Amino acid sequence: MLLVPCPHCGPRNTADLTLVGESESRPDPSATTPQEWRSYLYLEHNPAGWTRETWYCRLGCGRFFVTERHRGQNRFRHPPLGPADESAGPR
Amino acid sequence: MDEQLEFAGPLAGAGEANGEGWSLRDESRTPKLLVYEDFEPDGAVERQLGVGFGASAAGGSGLLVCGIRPGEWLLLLGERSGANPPAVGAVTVDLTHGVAMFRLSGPRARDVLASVCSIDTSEEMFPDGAVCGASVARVACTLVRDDVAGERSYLILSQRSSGRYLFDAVRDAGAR
Repeated sequence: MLLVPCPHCGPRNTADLTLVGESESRPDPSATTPQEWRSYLYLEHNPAGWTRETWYCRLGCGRFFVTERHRGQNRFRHPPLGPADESAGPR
Repeated sequence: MDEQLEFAGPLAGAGEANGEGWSLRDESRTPKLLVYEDFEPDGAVERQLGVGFGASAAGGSGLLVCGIRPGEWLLLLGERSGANPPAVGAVTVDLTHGVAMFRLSGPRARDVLASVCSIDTSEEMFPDGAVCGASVARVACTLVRDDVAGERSYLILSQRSSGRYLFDAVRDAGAR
């Protein structure tokens, strides 16, 4: 079982949350190319190391937050980085 | 058409169930008010209600204030007239008929709940007065630990449409 450190609820079973995806700034739709927009929407870097992720605490506090996870070892960096800003929220 | 169809709500007939060391009672008729903090929160609502996210506090006239999410509270009213929801900086919605609520009580209540619940219900993690969102029988619920006269007791709240299923699932978990 993977425990996800929600900043509001504390460690929760990953089944109670939803991984939104890698956290990156939303590009300006008026200044980006279709290729860049597609990349933002659908592609992930997915490194075998530390990456910033946005999670949604579905059954707990109902909030989005950003944290760092090592995708190779499934470890989280504590504490979480706090609430997700709008640019890093759901795509 | 002479035949009159009678609407039976999802909780119709639920009533009460008992087992060895536990009891489950439908308390959905309890008046419930949902209080949202305003869009620009300044902490005034929390100060007025006296409780934050993840905790509950009893008020007068059987009122129970539950911090169900950051900036959201559920007021369970023993008597409707006893409520005094915040008037400034808050939005209040009456959820009485939209939310099903059950009380699971007794010395075995924790065992019954643990068999269908996704969270750790130990004394250290979920003491009296604690509030959290959790999956109960795969239904998104709000759980409130609300001991009565020293006896372990939980309030389980869900969408009304899931109420009858949830009641049956918890009853069956107790009978197992």
